[in-house]
Amino acid sequence: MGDNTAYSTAMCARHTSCRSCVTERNCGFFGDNNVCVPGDWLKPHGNYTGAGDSWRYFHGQCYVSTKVEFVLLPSIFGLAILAAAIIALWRYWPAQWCGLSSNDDHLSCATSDGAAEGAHDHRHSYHTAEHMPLLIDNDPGSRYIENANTGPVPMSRSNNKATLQQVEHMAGTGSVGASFEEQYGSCSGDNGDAQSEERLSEFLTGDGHTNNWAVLVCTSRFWFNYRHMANTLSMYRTVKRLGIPDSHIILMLADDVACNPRNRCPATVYDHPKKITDLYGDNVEVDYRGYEVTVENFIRLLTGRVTPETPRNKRLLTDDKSNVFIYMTGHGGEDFLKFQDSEEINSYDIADAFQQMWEKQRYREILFVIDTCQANTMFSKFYSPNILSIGSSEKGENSLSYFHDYDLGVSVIDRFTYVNLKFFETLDMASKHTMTDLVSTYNYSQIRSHPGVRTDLFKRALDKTYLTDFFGAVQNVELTREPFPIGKKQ
Amino acid sequence: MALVLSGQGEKTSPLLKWTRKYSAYLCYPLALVGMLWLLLLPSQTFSRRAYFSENAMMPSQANSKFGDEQHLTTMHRIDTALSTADKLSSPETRAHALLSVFEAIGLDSEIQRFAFEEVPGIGETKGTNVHGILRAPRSDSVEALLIAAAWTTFENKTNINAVRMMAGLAKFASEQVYWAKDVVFVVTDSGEKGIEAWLKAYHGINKAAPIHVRSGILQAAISLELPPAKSYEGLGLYFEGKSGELPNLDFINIVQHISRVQRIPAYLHGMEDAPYGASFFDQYKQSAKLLLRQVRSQAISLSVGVHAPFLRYRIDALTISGLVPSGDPIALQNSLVGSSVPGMPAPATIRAIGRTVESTMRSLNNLLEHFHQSFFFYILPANQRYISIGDYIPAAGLMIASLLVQAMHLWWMQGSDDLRSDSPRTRIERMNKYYSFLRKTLPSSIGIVLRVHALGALLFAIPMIIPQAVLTHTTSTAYVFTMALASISMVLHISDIYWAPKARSLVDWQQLKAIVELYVAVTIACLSVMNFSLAVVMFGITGLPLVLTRVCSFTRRAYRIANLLMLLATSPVCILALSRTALLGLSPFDFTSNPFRMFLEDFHNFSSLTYPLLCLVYWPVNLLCIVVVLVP
Repeated sequence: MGDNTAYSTAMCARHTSCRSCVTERNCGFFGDNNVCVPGDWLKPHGNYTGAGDSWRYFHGQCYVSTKVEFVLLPSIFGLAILAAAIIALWRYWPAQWCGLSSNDDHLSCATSDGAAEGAHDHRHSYHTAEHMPLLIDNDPGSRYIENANTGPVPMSRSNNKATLQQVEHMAGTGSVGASFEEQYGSCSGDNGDAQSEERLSEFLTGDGHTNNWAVLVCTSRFWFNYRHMANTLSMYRTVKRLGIPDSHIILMLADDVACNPRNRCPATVYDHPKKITDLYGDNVEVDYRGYEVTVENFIRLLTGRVTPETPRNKRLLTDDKSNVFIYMTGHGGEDFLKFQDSEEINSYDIADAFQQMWEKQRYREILFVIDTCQANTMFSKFYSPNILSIGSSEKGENSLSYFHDYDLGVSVIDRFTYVNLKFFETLDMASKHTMTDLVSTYNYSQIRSHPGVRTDLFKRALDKTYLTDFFGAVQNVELTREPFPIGKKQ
Repeated sequence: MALVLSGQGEKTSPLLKWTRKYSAYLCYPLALVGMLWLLLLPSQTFSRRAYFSENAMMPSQANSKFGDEQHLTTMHRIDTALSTADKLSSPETRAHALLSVFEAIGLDSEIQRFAFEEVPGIGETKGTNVHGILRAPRSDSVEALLIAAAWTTFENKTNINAVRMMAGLAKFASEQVYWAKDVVFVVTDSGEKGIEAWLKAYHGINKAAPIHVRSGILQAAISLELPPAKSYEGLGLYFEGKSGELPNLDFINIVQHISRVQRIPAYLHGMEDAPYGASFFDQYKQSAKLLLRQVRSQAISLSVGVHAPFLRYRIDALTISGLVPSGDPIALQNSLVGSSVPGMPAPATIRAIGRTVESTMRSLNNLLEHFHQSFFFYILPANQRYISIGDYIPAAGLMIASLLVQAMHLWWMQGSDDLRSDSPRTRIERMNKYYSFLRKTLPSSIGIVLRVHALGALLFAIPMIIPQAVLTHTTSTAYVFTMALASISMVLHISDIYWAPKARSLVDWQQLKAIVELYVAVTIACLSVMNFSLAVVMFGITGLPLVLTRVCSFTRRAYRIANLLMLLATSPVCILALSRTALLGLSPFDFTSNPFRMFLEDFHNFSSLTYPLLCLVYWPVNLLCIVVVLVP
């Protein structure tokens, strides 16, 4: 051992510069006295004392000292900070979470300065919400609170010191503008009742949308049309992820693939051969299933002409403040779309249904997306206002499938839907992407057909129309100092 | 009818006049164009490329996985079970050996013991079927797919490779979860008749030998025929049924497609196409050869494999048969030592064939209902090409038209010339003459037709009445010749009657020929939509000689004799004696097995049409032609 040490000492002593010293595995370099000594990365070997305890000991590299204190002290510091962070998170977590899930523009208060102080009060913000059923109920019969679309306004510090009240409502992030209390008075003491009333009425009569609905229709049936069901379920997953709740999604699905005996992976539906996301995993609420997916049911659903005994989950309970996203996929042709190999809907039927919806004030805006062969013919007959239509292929063109799963033996997704979904995967509830961003991702080389966008019925410009106007619904947090004076002043 | 009546001087349109003027000659170009149409069929320009009509099948869209160690082991288990069961010795021990293998795999299995008669009155033969049913794991047993094999192949070799393959496939299928239909495996030791007995029992018709382990409706069946060999150079596809029924074209297309993907291409009737870039003549020759094989299979129900009985039950079926390359070691060895169990094929061959069947089964499994999208009537001039019924039926139409036009012309021309004057003044007079003429001749014409048909009916019925054992032991060919002599003497007798001066006016050959032509035209028209090949053959052996019978007035005896010789050449005795050499490869003097017996067997077991057509149409019509030639 002694020989070894002596040998290493000699070996190391040959080196005079740090750079050459660190090339030896068993040597370390003292920067203060420029000596190379035997040692590992932590410290010089035991019996070596010659160079004293310099703070500049290098091993393996000449940039950062590996002296023991420099290893241990930062670790201790790091652990301490981590512990502090964990304790802080544990304590303040609900406030943090609440802030993260809402719009960026509103966050500033909740996440930064307001979080620590308001945290303990936040818990009964849920209770206060119960006192204001009018504001959280999404029943179309009632009126909604909504925001005017002005720009984001940061909250004042004084609000955060006050008691926080949470007001939830359904609204697309895109049109969400000023925070609630900024517009309508966060503190009744400061602004007075008259101003509050005025702002409330302004709020209630605004022309933005207050609720989002999605109607997702797969018109195909049978095992070999797996991809149409996967298309629809993928779209379902996306709108749900972006915030539209199940109560506002009408899913029409033949639903015969997941539990089809031909399915090698029973009770699953995948849209990718890698089978990462099970679209049929949990919490899929199919509203119209199997043979219920008919032209009649679809038109009745849109126009609201349902029988009185129809359950609520099978009704489209929209109003004139509803943005409705309608997605259809299946086998179609020029001006028609097959429903389950037994009947067809034609483009005039849908156009007339939309007109009825408009007359009955059942929508504010519609986004109609259709993925089928010759899809663009399906929206060519629309004549009602405020409809934006996107189709997968021109007249005379086929819409093709994208991935084929050789394990299942079926194609699992269509090209056009895939391109859309791929874009939506980059979105979250708070994103500011517009329709232009979506439409600009369409390219022939990937879709193998020419998607069409019909904008003449749609009043807004595409680059001003946020995707979340249709695909997302965000439960916004509005902070007021006191309970909102609804009911008190009626 | 207006056309027919207009011959008697009624008001006529210019078109009718034109038709009447040339009707005597119109039938020949019609028949000629019809036959030329047939000759055009083998050219590539006539056919279209095959495509998959049914979307649900998705052939070769899934990975195929057959060929694991386990599957090969299961195939070996057949050999082990057979060697303990004293090597193929008795059908009973063989059946039990197979049953044990099926049960070890986990199939619901059963042995069916049945008896059948090859031809009526010959005495019963015993047979044994074994079947195993793989229940679809996540579906109800309302539909089923079937794989069938016989213990012996068409060429009388052992079909043990197919049985091994079935065991391996059964093992493989039992591991899969994706079956929407049950899979039934049937092995029979009596060929098509065994399968027929099994199908009867399966559908509850065969009360004598019922089966108890059953599944749902059989949707499609694949029959395997793999003669002993180390490897196969390809597969042969055989698909014609006993009465010319065909499976849906989609079925043939997917098997052809899948086998190509699996690198063991399936050829129709085992015939490769003419090589790419071959001359038009070579292509034509190859296509014509393939078409002729189909005509043979369809017309006289000569089939390979055991798929034919299924088609009678509206179950789409075909046979996949291994093509043995020349000089194959196992095939050579097996031809030397008949009794020993031949060795296994090479694993790569097993895998290719197994995967072809696997992939086909998976494709069939994807079907939602019976095959219905694609053609049921077609002829296939080359691999992956087809001719649809719309393209070939005009040929039959033209042939039938030639018969009808000639019949029409003859109807006008019957009787004396004074019946055919155009003068309106004598119209009533002519009508009366015409009536009395028909009154006199029509009963005798119909009488001749009926008498000759009675002879045909006798020929048809004798095998059902007299125990066949007598006929077989004396040779049935002798019986056919006896019948031939009897019928010729009857014909001579009939024609002799009408040569008597008093009886001369009782018969008119033109009227007789017109009636026979109408009768033949109707028969061929019906046949052409059921079994086109048989219709064409029928036209060749009855229609065409009929058109050419007594085309000119017999001014010389030589004409009459020449006509008689032609009719004798196309007579059943002559044609059957010739065709057994051409079609069956038998010597004309091999009297032990003959086409007549073969047809009778098919009629008795599978209700094939050939035998009744032979006895009730072909033979009588030929005799009637001879009568037409022989009467004054």
